[in-house]
Amino acid sequence: MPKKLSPDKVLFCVVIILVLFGIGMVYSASAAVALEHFHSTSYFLIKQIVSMAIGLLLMMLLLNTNYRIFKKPFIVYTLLALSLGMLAYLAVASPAQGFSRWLRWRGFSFQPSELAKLCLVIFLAFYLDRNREKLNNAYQTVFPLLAVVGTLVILIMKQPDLGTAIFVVLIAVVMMFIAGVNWKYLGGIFLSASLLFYWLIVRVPYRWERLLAFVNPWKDPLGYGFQPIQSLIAIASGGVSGLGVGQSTQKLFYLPAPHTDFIYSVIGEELGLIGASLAVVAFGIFMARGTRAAVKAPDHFGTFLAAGLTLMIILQALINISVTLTLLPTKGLPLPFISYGGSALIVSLIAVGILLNISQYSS
Amino acid sequence: MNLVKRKTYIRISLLILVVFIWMGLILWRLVSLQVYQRDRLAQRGKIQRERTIKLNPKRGRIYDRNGKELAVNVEMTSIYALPTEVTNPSQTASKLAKVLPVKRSILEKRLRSNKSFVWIERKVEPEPTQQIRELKLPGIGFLKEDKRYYPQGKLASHVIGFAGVDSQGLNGLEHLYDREIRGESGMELTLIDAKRRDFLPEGITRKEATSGNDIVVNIDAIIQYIAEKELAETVRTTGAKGGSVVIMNPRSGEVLAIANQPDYDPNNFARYSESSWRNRAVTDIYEPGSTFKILLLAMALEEKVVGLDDHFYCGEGGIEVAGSYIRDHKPYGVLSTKQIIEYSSNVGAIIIGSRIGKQKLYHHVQRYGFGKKTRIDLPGESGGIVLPFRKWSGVSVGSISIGQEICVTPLQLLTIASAIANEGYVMKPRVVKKVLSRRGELLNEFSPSPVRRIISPQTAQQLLNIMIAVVERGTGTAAKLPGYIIAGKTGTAQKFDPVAQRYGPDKYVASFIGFLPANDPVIAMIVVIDEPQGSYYGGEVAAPLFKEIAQQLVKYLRIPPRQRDQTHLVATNILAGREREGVEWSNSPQEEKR
Repeated sequence: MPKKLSPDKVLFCVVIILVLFGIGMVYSASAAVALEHFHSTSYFLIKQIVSMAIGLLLMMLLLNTNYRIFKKPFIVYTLLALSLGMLAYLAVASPAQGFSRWLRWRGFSFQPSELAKLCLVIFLAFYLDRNREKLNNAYQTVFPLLAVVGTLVILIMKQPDLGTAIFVVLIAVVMMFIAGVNWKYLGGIFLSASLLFYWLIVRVPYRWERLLAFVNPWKDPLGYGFQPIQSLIAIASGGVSGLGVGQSTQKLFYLPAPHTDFIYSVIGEELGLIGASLAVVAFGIFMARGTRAAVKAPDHFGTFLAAGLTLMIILQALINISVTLTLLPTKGLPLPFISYGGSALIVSLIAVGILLNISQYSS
Repeated sequence: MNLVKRKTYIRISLLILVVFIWMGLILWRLVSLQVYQRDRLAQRGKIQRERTIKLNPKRGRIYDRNGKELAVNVEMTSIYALPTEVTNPSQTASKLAKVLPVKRSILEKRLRSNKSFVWIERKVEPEPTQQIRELKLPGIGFLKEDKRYYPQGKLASHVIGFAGVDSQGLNGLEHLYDREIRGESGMELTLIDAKRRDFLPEGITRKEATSGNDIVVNIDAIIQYIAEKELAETVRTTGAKGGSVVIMNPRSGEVLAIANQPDYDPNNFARYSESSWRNRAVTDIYEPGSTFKILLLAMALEEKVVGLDDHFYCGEGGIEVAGSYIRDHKPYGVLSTKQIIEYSSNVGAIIIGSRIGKQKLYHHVQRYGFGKKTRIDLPGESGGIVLPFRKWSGVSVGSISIGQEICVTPLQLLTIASAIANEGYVMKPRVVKKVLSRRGELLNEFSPSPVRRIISPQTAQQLLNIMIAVVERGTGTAAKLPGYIIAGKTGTAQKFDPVAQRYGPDKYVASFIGFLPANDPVIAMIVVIDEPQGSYYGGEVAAPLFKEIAQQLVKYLRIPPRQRDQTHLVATNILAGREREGVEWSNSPQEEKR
């Protein structure tokens, strides 16, 4: 019988530090933008604090909820249906407006694709655990699973949000890999993804050019290269010790989204190599403690779930940071715990709540 | 631990490895950017967010010797557009075109430019500016700028020159003294955000502009006005191609007036042809003709090769020099040295020249300053032409004796000849009198400076007397001014046609050089008329203009006329009983041609 321990304090502390750090950075990065558009420097700060409060509340709630609740088919399918439903609603209801990533209701807005990521991880943990014995049966396990992932991807692409769509595929592949799905399926997914990538991106000149901008942004410094260059200038300007909190000048509309996608650039500029690498170290600790919980979990479901949640957060963080360093092309993924964005913060904290609950158990 | 679980751990470990390698890559990239590429990229950031605003200085003003404003600044409004903020370019262009003298299509092109800033029109008058302000067009902005303004219009335009739209001196004193007048730009360094707005409105550093210095010139606006008006009138009535008048104080070298035709209005200089901008009195050369003879005599007297009362047989109206035949207006027979000048005999002048000799003539021509710039403080000065000695041919002495084969500018000839009225000293001609700071402190004053003494005071006085005779009874009687003694010398030179490589049959330069009053010269003046139609003699075209100007100058300068009896005395002394012939000469001018 699994032993009940106290939740992982290191994990808890790292997350709290990252979240509070994020609040500070959001304020620093967004003040000028907020003043410009909302006539108040603290517009984004206040919204982010509210989201943090909700997120922490839900985190504590889930910390005290046995993670096996997500093993119940009813819960899992309800969550999955909820995600698919909201995404489908977005895809159908407002295709005319172009971008439709948010559900809005009386001044509140919510980003269903954020919830969908979490629900996908829960569903995959549940499904892979359940079909552990016939994992490599194409018709009974792999294809139904791919059908669910494919539906999600198509709905997210409709928004359109290519970055999240690719990320969803990545998470699915990683979790299938952890669970031990045969290489040939993973290879197949990789192959078809490549074909799709070619079809959607390489073949369309403007998308391909835009994608390539990260390889040599200086080729078109005022066009597609502008954002990558501004990010590099910001980070490099920070030097070793940074310009000091609040001293970034690149956040003054040079960086495209200083408080969301490019908040790491502001961190690099204001806190320098020291601050920027400490942030990476913090995520490294998170990775170590999250996978520790996964490995120690008493059952396969716990292992899959903990590993999936940890990687969901870590991979987003690494992709986001890599984009700001122009190691990857621009994708609209936020930096977990730190970037401005209520849905992402709340979902991340829920994931941490579940992770902390898993960390209490050990076989 | 069962096998399945063990395999899962291995897979997770593999993922951990991938993640940590990825993180290592990130850290390596951070070090590369923040340590090794920092300076280069930070510099780039600095460039894109720093904006220096140039603060234009006030341009110094130009005053005449009595404090009359010749060049000042007027505050105008320049209109610019920020094309990205212009909502309706075609409509905006139509509205602007109704007020501004710019074509609608050109305006629209500017408004549709993909630059972030374009000028619509620089330095617009207050009234149209107000009309445009009232239109409240989005994306259209206004900036105060100084525009150079010349309140006297065309007056002294060749001397003052003009400044361009960016207040840069382009011509005349505006150009030559640009560094003095321009002042020093100030600058303001500000930081801007990506939307090109200041976010530190007070700027980081600010260096105020230093106003340019004011300049006071020796030009007298009234003398200048008289000279210009009379020159224009003469050029008009004679149908001449152009002309120049230079008036100087022979004692100090101060330039009191430089007038040229054709002229232009510096307020609208672009509407005039570039040739009308030329300060011909300083930049253009001509062969002086007979006016040179007075200096030839100066050389002969100094070398003591002739005496004033020597007599020469001037033959049957011509002389052969190395195969060329040079003619007088009529056969003179025997003439005294004085008479050679009075009647401007070519044959006589050539005899005097040959007495001086090739070597000494060349030496004196050089020493007097021919072929060299006077170094007047005006741009574009020509030094004239004196052929190098080794290029002198057999006819050179003869030609130079009658003022051909040597080229001068009107200013140069006047400067050298003024030595006759200044005890033999050549003064450096000066346009600028003093430089003042904006607040009126004297920064620099240019006192008269002698360049060299070319003749003795005695010779100078002798020459002056002969020049008085030229006006009293020689070729220059048309310059005679009742009540005043005027010294002068006429000149009529054939123009060399550079295309045909010979002297043209009907193109002449008529000139007159003179001093007044001759007993105590305060005015030295040269009048040069280029290609007059009809009569072309210096005595008929240039001398009357000299007289017209002189008449108004003595009034303006309140030069008292001589006592009648004294005038008579001087006149009788000089005339020495040849009055009848003198009158005759004045009716049929004695000018020479080859």
